[in-house]
Formats: sequence, structure tokens, C-alpha cells
Amino acid sequence: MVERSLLTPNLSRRDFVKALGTITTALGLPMTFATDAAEAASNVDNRPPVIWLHFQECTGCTEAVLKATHPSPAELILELVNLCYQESLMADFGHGAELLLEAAMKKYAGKYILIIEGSIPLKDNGVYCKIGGKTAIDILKHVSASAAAVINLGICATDGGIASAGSNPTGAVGAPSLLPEGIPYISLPGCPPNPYNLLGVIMYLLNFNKLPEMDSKKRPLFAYGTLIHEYCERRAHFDAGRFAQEFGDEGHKNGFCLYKLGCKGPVSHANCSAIKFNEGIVWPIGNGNPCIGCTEGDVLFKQSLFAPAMVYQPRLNSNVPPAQQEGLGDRATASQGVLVGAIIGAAVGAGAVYASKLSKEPEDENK
Amino acid sequence: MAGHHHEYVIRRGNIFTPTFYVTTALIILAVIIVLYRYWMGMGYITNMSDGYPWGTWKSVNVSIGAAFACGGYVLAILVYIFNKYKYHHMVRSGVLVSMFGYSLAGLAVLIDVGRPWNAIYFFVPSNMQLNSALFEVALCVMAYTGVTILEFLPAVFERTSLIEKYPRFSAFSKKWYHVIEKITFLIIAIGITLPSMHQSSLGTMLIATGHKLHPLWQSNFIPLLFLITAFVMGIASIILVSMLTSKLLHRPFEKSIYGIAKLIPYATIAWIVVRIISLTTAGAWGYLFTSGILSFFVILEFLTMGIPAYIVLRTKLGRSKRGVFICSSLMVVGVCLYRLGVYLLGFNVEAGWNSYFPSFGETITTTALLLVILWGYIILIKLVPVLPNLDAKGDPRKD
Amino acid sequence: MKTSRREFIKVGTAAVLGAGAVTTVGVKDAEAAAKREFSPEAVGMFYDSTKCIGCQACVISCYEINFVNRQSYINNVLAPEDQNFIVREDLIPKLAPEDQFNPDRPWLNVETNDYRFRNIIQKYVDPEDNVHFIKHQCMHCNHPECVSVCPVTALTKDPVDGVVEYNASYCIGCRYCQLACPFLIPKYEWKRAVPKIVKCDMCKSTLGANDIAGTGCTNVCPTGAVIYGKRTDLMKDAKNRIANNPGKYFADKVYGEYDNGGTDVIYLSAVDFKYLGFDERIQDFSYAEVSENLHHTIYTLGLAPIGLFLTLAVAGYINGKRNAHDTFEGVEFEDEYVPDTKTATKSKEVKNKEVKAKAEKDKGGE
Repeated sequence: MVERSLLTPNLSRRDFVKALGTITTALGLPMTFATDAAEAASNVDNRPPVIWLHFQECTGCTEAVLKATHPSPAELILELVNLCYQESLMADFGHGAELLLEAAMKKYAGKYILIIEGSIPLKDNGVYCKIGGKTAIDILKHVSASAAAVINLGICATDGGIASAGSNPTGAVGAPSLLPEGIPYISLPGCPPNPYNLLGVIMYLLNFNKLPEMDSKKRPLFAYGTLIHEYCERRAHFDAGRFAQEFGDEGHKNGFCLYKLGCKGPVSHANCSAIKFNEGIVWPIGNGNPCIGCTEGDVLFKQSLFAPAMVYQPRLNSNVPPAQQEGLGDRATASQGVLVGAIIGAAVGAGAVYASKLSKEPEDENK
Repeated sequence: MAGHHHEYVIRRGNIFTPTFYVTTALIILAVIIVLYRYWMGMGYITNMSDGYPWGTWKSVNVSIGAAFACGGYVLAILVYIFNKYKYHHMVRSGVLVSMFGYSLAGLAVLIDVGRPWNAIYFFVPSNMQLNSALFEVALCVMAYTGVTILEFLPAVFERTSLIEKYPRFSAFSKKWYHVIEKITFLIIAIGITLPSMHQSSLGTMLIATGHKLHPLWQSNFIPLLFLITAFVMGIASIILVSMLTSKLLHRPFEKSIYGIAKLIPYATIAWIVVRIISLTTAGAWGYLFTSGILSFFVILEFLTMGIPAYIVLRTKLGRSKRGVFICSSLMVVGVCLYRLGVYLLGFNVEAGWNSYFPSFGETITTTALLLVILWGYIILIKLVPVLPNLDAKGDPRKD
Repeated sequence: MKTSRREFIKVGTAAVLGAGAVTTVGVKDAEAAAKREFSPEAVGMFYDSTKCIGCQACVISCYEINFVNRQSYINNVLAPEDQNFIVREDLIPKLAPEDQFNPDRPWLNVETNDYRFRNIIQKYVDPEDNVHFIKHQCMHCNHPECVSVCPVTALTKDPVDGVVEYNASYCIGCRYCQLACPFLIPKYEWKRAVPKIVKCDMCKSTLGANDIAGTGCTNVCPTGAVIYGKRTDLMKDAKNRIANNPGKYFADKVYGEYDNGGTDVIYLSAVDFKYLGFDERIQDFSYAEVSENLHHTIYTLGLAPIGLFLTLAVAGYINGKRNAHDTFEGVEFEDEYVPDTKTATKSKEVKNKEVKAKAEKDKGGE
């Protein structure tokens, strides 16, 4: 395993290729991708310029990326991409930093990748988020205008996130609706998104010069194509109907399905259940915490954390029905029988009474 | 022409009798149920399932209702083909029952099918499926409903020609009365051909279900048996309608039904013979005593068909009012049992589906649809000349 | 006079019994029904029960393609100019209330194929605790009962690829196809105001017209238990499997080779097919043959009804001439005779009638 940090920027080519191999395997991409990517990254001129903007956010997405080790942040920043502007990581500050941004935009106009972290407040002309005297909307429009591609990182940047919860006091929205038309963009929702998904997208861009295949919400299919539910380690319990009914009960201790505690796994598209967090060791559902649905803009902060998810595409109960079946269809009730019996009985009774009143003397037609 | 009597009379009296109110109330209740069925889907009011897709609307209203409406068919054959013009005075009430019987069958189909507006494709040549018995039944029933209306129109024109307020309408009625009179033989010929076709095809429909119909009923003789039951039911229908009319409306007892009753043995014995042939060719005798309630139904069929034949042929009772009534009632029960047997009782898919039993909604709508016959009858006999003009002895009034 | 009347009675008898007589003739012909040939291009599916692991991937794949995403799949298949017309309500899948999401039972419960599931996996556990799976969907019979009985041709069998298709825009919803299908395949949307029949069409409506590489179910099967191809190839494959594995398959029988007149979907299994949900009463011929033969014999060129009609018309015409009298009077109708009974004196109205009737009676007596 590669052990690197920000303080040890020197990276051997061998280690780098190894790291690429790891990430390629993790993402399920073809192995040739690793060598291609290594070659692409080794050429210094080929390092793609990246501008990373922060708006209304908690810097959690940045933190998540910094916690990745394949590659480590140093490898990412120094070897893989040309990080021109990142408020949390750059050495410059104040107006100097803003000058760097302007310079980078001018130098790499139409070539740089823009990563957006955090939501953009629209209320009151956007006064709730200002950097260097400019509102977030202005910065976003200014910077995105000459970007080659935009990556919306985290649920705040894609759907407004926590800032838009409840009454949404700042009128926060996600970036996609504000981007100029024609700019290709991709959304990586999550709170935080898995760093490997970001790295994978950057690798893909680097290698193929285009965005990966995406779904209708512009999320890359390689990461967001399946439901968490599909590869969940607790899935067998769901299929068998074994659920934790409340936190700390027997079912919870035994690792039963967390669906009834409000797990949003069945409606959340993400690969968490496959690649997990913290180097593939842990993830919320594995820890006994129901999934909060952070990859779905209409779930996290919009629905109750502990209410069962509305499964719109339900899965089969794994019990295969028997080939010789019984009791299909409606069953007649006793009262229905009584009604039919009463009608037939009334007809027969009336006929019998009538017949008894008729004469039984023979008569003749022509008499 | 002094002293000449009309052949038919208009029943004088108030249309709005208690019977009218009761039947109307039931029909309105059924209409509400049917509206709910159209709004929500029929699964909410019926007990039909994918295993038993045909319920009482088809088996009772269409299959048995159409049989009960065969009075007009039998009378037409008797009077116009066999030249028994002495029964001519009964034709109109027979045709009236036929008209409402077939209208209710059509109505029941409209309620029963899920996409009735597509019935337009019955008339699109590229969509006609000539292999389908249902296609033939549908076309014949639609056509025959029109024919019964044509057959009944002379009665209406006789009445409307008397409206002096609108002389042109009166003249129109007179003119068309004579036009229809002239082509009566064609209308009658169509009106006999069509029921002969679709009454048998009503049975042919169930042959395609193969093993799903119990061997006690499944055979290639179903069409012939259905045709004979049409005669049986037609005879019973003529007698019962006449007797109930004279009883409930305090009219003289119609003597002619003794003549009609003489047909009972022919029809029922023909049915019994063909039924025995059908059971033999299907090799189903082994099931006759081993199929539980189904055996009971089949034996009951034979009894309800055999007893009337015996009563009429061998006993004095057969020439009394009570005897004729009992015979006709038994024949109705027999035909209902046989036709229900083919459509419902004998239909078992044996694949885990609960047997069908009609729900409340189906029972009420089915009953109300059958009451449509009574409802239309008690209204129209008071509006147009339908009932025969009888003397004290119950014979047609003569000069 | 007397003799001619007797003649007419004879004519009448012959006419009325004519239809019946022809019916009896039809019975014999039905036995000698000619079998229909399979189209050489007929496609089908081949399901080997011994390979199936019961994962139900086929069920879910079909559910997604033909139910959940049906509309978008149909839009992809159709040419763009046709897509605007696909806003019809009957193409949009809708769940019945009892099948809608229920937090207490968040999984789909399926017992048999229904309006949601065009194919279904079921299992049979034999006395030795071995589990046998079976996949049920439309068998695409060579001589399908459903097509034969559908009065408006809403169900059709493609003459080339043999797929039995359903067209909701013609369907009248009579459910005769459900009644006639010996495999109980067509299912009905009972709880919709505008219902339709649902059955497998080998994904022809959703995945493509003629050049599809497979169906939703065959494309996802992980073990190759169900495969798609030309029926002739599949049949060869099935026979090879039987030849290479003697004793493995039940009675060395390819189900669907002759059953119900032969089907495009064929099966192999290790146990008797009657345990797997196939009715053992299903014959080696299609019931459609029987009913079609009978029906066609009665109505050969429409001769029987036309002959009957002509005979009746002649008889009716002559009888009508003989009994002709102008019944039309154009005067007010007389009142009917009311018998003198206790009940008749109950109301004033009836009393009046009685008086009138008596007067009438006196008149009639003179």
C-alpha cells in the first residue's frame, strides 16, 4: 500500500502506477486504463488545470478527498492535476488568491475543469455568501463561463444540500441550474461523495477527454448506476423479512436490515455498498446506521431521516412461489351466498305458492 | 265491419304501479353500481379473477337472458313457418320479451367488457376474426336486437297512427305500418335465422376452452344442445309470461298455452336424447356419479327436463293450469342449470384459483338486468297494443 | 289445402333442424384436423429447468422492461415521428392499490404471473427435497386458442416469427382469451377503469421489432437456463441435451414439441411437467382446431344460414299470403275483457272497466 501525505510530495513512478492500478480496479475500469492514465499524467503539460470553488458548504467534501490514499492528496495535486485555485489548500490568501484565480482563468480559458463545492444562495441578491466582495452567483457565472467541464461535488452543489433544508433561509440552490448553457457538467452528490468517485471522474476526463456515461440527473453511471440496496451486505435480511425494529434491539444487534429504521438504501443510487468509505473498511449501514440517502436530492434533508423510504422500484421477495398453487383470486363470502340464495329462494317460493293456487283440473284448448 | 274485434288491446291503467317503483329502484341501484364500475374498474365490484374471467353478467344475463328471450323466436317459427296462425295473437308479447331480453343481453355485455368503445372493430373487415364464435354471437345479437325492434314496430305504429294531434306523424305511422307488413316474411326469416345461429354459437364459444370445462359438459354437441335449450326456454317463456300476465293483471287465462304446452315433450325429449349422445361421445358417463355437486347438477338437469315431458305425455295434470305452470318452471330451471353448467358450474381451471361466486355488485346488477324485461313489459303493454284481446273463456275474441 | 300444409310443416322442420344436422357432421371432421406447420423463421425460447437456480433475474428484468419503464422502451423502439402518439394512458403502467408501496411489506409479492409480471419463476420441491424451478410465460403456441377466439383480432400470431402479440387499441376487453388459454397466461388489469390484457410478446413491443438479439429474460439469465433463438435451432439443442445426458430429463420429453399443437417456447425438466404447473389434461392438439373445425363446418361459405334463411323466407311468404288480412284499422282500441272476480272490484278504476267490459260483452254477444 502506498503511504503518502501532503508532507511527502515525492512520488516514485512505480508507486504512482501502482496507485492508479488500485483505483482502476476499485472503479471496475479496464486495466489498460491504469497504464493509459499513468502515461497521460506523467506528461507534465498534460496535467489538467483545475479550479475548485467553495460556496455555502462545510468543506466536508474537501476533507473526504484529503482522506483518500489511492492516490494521496499530494499525488492528486502535484502529479495528477494542476490545482490552480482551492481556498482550503492553497498557500495564498486574500486578494492574492483572487489574482491567482483570474490569472489561471486567463491562462487556461476553455481548458480548465471547474469543481464546485457548496450551494449558491439566491435570496436578497445572494448577499449570504460573498468572497472578495463578490457574490457566489457572480463568481460562479464568471468562472464557469470559460470552463471546459464542471464537476458539482457534494449534495450542496448538486441539489442545495443542507443550506436548502427546511425554509431555505438563504434561497440556496444547486449549481446545475445556474451554469451557462452548453457547458458540460457532471454531478457527484453525496454528503460527502466518495472521493474515489471524484478521482475516477477526473481520471476519465484525463484519459478520454470527455465525461463518463451519466444518468438523467447527470450522475456518472459507474458510481451511481445501482441502488445501495442491491449490493448491501444486509440485503439477505431484507429479502427474508428480518428487520431491526428500533435502535439497539435484538435485530439491530444481530445486524438485521435497517429498512424500518429509515434506511434509504432502497432508493439511493450509489456504490457505497460496494466500495465503502475510509479505504473500503466501513460505511454507515455497516456501522448500524441507516443510510440517509445523501445521493438523492429529494431524499436527504427533504424526508425524515427515520421514516421508511418510499420504494418506487421494489424488488422481489426472494421466496419463489410454488408451481402448484392454491387460493388465488377472490373468495366468496357467506353473505354473498345468502344474497344469491335469497333471490333464488324468493323466485322458487313465489313459484311454489303460485302453483299451489292454480287449479289442477284438466282443461282443453278448444273447449 | 261491425262486431270485428281487434287482435290486440292496450292495457288501460296507471304505469306507475308499486311493481314499477320497486323495479325502477333496483335498476337505479344497479346503475349506480355500474357507474362505479366504469369509474374505478370492474375488479372493485366483481369476484371475477384471471382464473374465472367470465361471471354472471355473461353466464346469466347473456346466456340465460338470451334463452328466455326465445319466446318470440319459437312463436315466429310456430306461426309463420308452421302456419299455426291461431297463435298469432301471442306473437307481440313474445316479441316484446325478446326485444327486452336481447337488449339486456347487449347491455350486460357493455357492462362486462373492459373497453366497449372498441366494439367498433366488429365492423372493420380487417379486424373480423371469423374463427371466433364470439364474433358471430356479437354480430348476430346486435342484428337480432334490431330485428326484434323491427318486429315490434307495427304495434307502435298502430298506436301512433291514432295520435290526431299530429296528422303527419299519424300518416307516417300508417305508411310504415304497411311497409313493414309487406316485408314481414323477410323480417321473420332473418329473425329465425339469426337466433338459430347465435343460440348455437353461444355454446360453441365454450368448446375452445377444452379441458377447462368439465367433461360432463364439454362436448362437440354443445351448439346443438344450446339450440334445443333455446326452444325449451322459448316454450317455457311463452307459457310463463302469459300465465303471470293473466294472474297479475287479472285477465282471463289464455287457452292457447295448452296448445303450446303440447310442444314440451318434443323439445325436452330431443334435449335428453342429444344430451345422452353428448355424454356418450365425450365418454363422460364415468363422471356422472363421481363429481360431487357437479353430478347433482347434471342429474337435476335430466330430472327437470324429463319430468315435464312425463307430466304432459302421461298425466292429466299436464292439461291443467298447475301442471303447465310446473312443467314450464321446471324447464326454466333445467335450461338455467344446463347453460350455467357450461358457463360457470362446469368451468374449473384446477390451477389454484378460488371458484367463482358472484359478489354483491354482480348479484344486484344481474338481477336488475333481468328485471329490465319485466320493467319494459309492464310499461309497454300500457302504451301500445301488445296483449291479446281475449274473451271470458280465454280464447281470442271473435266476431 | 291439407296436403300443402303438411308439406310446409315438412319444409319448416327441415329448415329448423338444418343447423343442428350440420352441427353433428362437424363432430367427425374435428377429429381429422390438419396440423398447422411451424414457420421456419419462428423464434422461441428454450428453458432448461435443470439449469435454473431460481434467481428471478428474468422476472425483474421483464418487470423493468415491460412494466416499470414500458413507455420509455416503447418510445425507443418506435421511430421518432411515432413517439408523439405514445401519450396514451393505457401504455403507462399503473399499480393496483393493493400492489402499491406498503412500508410493512416493502417487497413485491408475486404468486403467479399477473398484470405486472409477464414471466414468473415458480418452484416445486420433490419428495427428496430437490428444488425444481419453472419459468412460466406465454408459450406462443403454434395454433393459439387466444388468437382463434379473439373476435376483433386484438391478438395476432406473426406469420413469420410466430410471436403472439396483443394490440390494446383493438381489444374490447371481453376476456375470451383468458377463458380459452389452456396455460392461463393472459392476465387482465381488473382494477383499472381502462383495463387491458397483459401477456408476454417476447419483448417485441419494447426491445425491438425483428432484429432483437434476445428478450429481457434471456438477456439476463446468468446460467443460460433460458435462451432465445429460432425454434428449429432450439429444438435441435434440446434433443442434443437429451441425447448427451441419458436419464437426466423426464421421459426424454421436450415440452412444447407437440403439446397444445406445439409451442414456440419449449422446456426440459427433470420431473414430470404436471408438478411444474402444466395441466396434465393439455392435449397434443390445440382446442382451437376443434372449435374452428366445428364452427367452419356449420358455416361453410355461410351455406347453412343462407339456405335456412331462404327456406324460411319462402315458407313465411306463402303462409303470409294465405293468412293475409289487413289488421290495421285506424280506430280507437277497444278495452280488454275483465273477468268478474273479487279482486277486480277492488278499485273504482277497475269497477269502471268492469262496467265497460260488460257492455262490450253484450255487444260481442249480438
